[in-house]
Amino acid sequence: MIKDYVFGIIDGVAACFTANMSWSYLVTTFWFLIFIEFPRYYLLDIIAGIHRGLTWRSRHRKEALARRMLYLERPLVSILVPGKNEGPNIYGLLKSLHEQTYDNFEIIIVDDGSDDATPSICRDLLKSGRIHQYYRMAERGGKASAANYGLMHAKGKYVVHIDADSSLDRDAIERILIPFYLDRYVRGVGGCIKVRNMDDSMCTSMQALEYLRSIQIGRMVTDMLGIYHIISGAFGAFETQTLREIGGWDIGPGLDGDITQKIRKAGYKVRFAMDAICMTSVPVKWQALFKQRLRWSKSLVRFRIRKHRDILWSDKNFSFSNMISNLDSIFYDFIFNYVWVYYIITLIFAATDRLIDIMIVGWMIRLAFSITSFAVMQCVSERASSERRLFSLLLFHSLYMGYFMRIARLCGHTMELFFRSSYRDKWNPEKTSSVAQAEGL
Amino acid sequence: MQDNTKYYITTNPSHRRILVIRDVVDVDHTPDLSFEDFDAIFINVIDSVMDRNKLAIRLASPLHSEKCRFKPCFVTRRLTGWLGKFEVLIDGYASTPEDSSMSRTIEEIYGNFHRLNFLLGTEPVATHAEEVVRLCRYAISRGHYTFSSEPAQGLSQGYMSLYYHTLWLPGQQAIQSQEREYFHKQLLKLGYIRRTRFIERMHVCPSCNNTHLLFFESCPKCGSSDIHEEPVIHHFRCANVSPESTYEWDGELRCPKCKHMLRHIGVDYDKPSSIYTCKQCDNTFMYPDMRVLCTEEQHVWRPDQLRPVDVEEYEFTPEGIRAFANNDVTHTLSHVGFYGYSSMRDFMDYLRLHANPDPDSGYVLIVSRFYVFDPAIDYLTDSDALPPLVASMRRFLNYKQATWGNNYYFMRRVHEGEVAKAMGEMEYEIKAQLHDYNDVSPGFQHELIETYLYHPGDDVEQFIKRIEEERN
Repeated sequence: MIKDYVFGIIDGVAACFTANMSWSYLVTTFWFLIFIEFPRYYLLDIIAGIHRGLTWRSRHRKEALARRMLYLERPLVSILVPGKNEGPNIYGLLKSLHEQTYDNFEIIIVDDGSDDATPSICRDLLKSGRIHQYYRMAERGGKASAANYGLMHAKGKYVVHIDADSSLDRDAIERILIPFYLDRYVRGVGGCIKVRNMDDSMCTSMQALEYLRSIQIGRMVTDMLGIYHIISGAFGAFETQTLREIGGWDIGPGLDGDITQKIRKAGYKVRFAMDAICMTSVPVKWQALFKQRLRWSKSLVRFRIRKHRDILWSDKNFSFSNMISNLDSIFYDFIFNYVWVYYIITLIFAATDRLIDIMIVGWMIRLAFSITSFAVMQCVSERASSERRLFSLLLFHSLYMGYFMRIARLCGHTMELFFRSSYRDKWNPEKTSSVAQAEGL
Repeated sequence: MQDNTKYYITTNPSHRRILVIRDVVDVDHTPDLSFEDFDAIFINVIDSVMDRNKLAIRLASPLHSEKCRFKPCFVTRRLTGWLGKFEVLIDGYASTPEDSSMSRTIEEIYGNFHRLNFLLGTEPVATHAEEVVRLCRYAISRGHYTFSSEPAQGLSQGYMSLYYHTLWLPGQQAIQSQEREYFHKQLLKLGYIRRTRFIERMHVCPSCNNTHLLFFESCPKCGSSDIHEEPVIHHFRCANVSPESTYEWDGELRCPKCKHMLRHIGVDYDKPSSIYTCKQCDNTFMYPDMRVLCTEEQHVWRPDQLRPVDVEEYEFTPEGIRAFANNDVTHTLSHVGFYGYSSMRDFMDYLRLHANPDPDSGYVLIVSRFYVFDPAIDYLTDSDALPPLVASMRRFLNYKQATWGNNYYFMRRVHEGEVAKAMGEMEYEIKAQLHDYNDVSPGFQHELIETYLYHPGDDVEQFIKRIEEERN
């Protein structure tokens, strides 16, 4: 009986590609994939990959010049590491910092009310001269406040914000600074985040693939289009003066996206340094990952839709690219998720009898697109060979991105949209969240 | 007759002979007075110059004077409250030599002697070690069996053990404290004393053992102590965190970032931390460095470089009391660890003790050899505790000293960077003293022959061999 069922499915799938499923039927069935996802993600990936290949020579020449200018000036860089209970992670970060090719930097650690051994670890590091400044808050005030306090003490021309559980490639600092010397209007540069613990579990491996796809390639695309809108909190560089002008970080969560918007709104440019690599640890369990993504999704509603909605029409420094940047995020990360729900529901009702066939065909089409996208990743990645082993995970990628991530986002958006649940998030202390909620921040 | 003499001897109701001193009298150098002539001393000197009163006490003290050794000593009641630390040298105050309370105390002390079989026989104090032993014997003779420690005003060691401050000499306390430590260790090893109580653990200068240390909070960058601490304010609304001064606005607190007023701590803002700012270099930091200045050496240390020293209370054991009372300790105690004058053998042993094979230890030993010829040595009598030349050099307790024929050796331990300065000082000081001695002993000759330097890591036996070979 099972045998008959399996053969039935295979016949159904085969039938999809025969007279039973015409091109017009395919288009009407997979319209979401073809008209919404394909052009934005897969097509643009390919175009961006080709563009990068074609402009390699001129880009290389400009970057070499910018690098010379950087070393000629050798500005002091303040590396800012705010965090709570991050003491044990700091050694790894420091090890990678002391290996950097660019070495004119100071390390500032701001301890946001740690209740473990972090203060004594940091004091020892300060005493031994491995870090340059250490500040401690007796009470937790949230990541934004810790970062702002560090910013106040920064002496460097540029501030590089790094998460304590991250570590950097040897040339990461140098590479993240180069865009500042390519264009004098650039005031913020995002680094490329990759997963360090990709072998810990299936969950981390999927995230490794996701980071490659959505950070390395995704941000390469938005950077190419001039709509790059998020400098990762894990690794981002800013001009110190500009950061001070815009008042530093505001209350999170999602303060990395928020500060990028603030810089853009102030009329400055932000860039993505694709080859400035930062490795970070990601959640090992699905539940923790789901929670993390809920938080990220909430911040999209809170900041892009509420706080920075003026970027769409009434911002005093209104620019078309800023508007598109925000719209891209609002549509693709928010509205189209609800559209997807509508799509799935209509599909269930319209093709109830062929649902499994259609899902399998859809998965195969996505797989084909993902393979193309993976080929682009392999072309542009600096550690292509080691990432090649993620290829086998493409089989599950559409399930992970298409269902797991989409559901997490939908939950997060809905919770924030109707219940403003980000204000109750433990990520921020209650004292700041309550003020932020009362003032509608 | 009594009105015209500086001293006289009278008998009290208990038939004890009391030496009554009415003016400053150097008892040891008064030929008419001998140890057997009197049982107790009553010092009835009232001078408007307090130092003169103290000198009178010192010259007839049971601790310092050979002829008055261990004998009960009293001072006129009119000096009550004026003697300060000199009070420990006396057994009490009295109005007259016949005072009943004085008689009672004298009998108690003699009763103590009898009970302890305390030997009062001659025991010339030739070395510093012997001086310390006498001090302990004196304490035992008075029934003080505990070396209690208490903070002492003006004492560079901070704490003193019983009676020890009578021996502290200005500028030599560092050395003396080392000796005290060494002395205690030996007594503990011999079972003569035991620890009874831990009092404090204090931190002293690692170089000179001085406790007079000044602690400064200073800027980690420029070292200035011109630093200012202020609270840091976290404004909840906009996550701004900066020092309180940046919020001050017309007597109110206003956020420098979002310009909102801060009205309620805990609701609008809190103060999670504080920050130091250096007024000299504008550096900001959270933890100031601590600097410790030794007032003696003017040397700056880090707190972790200070040497921890335990202040403890000791007491004599019954064996210790017996040994000190019978005066057996001098023979069992090693004198090597003591500065001041000693035998040549102890001098060499001291060299071995302090010669450090570690080249990084930082201490250098300087040994100066003087040729001396003293005609007075021919007139030395048995009653003279020390050769007059050695007695005249006793102010150099910070030098280890020994004589060998016509050679007079002086040794000093100094830091590696201070060798040249210390050598110059030694030569100047010793020559000046020897020159002064020339006035006392006509025909005295002296000359600096050689200065030997022992650097850490050198072979000490080779060093000693060289001194021995060159003595002629």
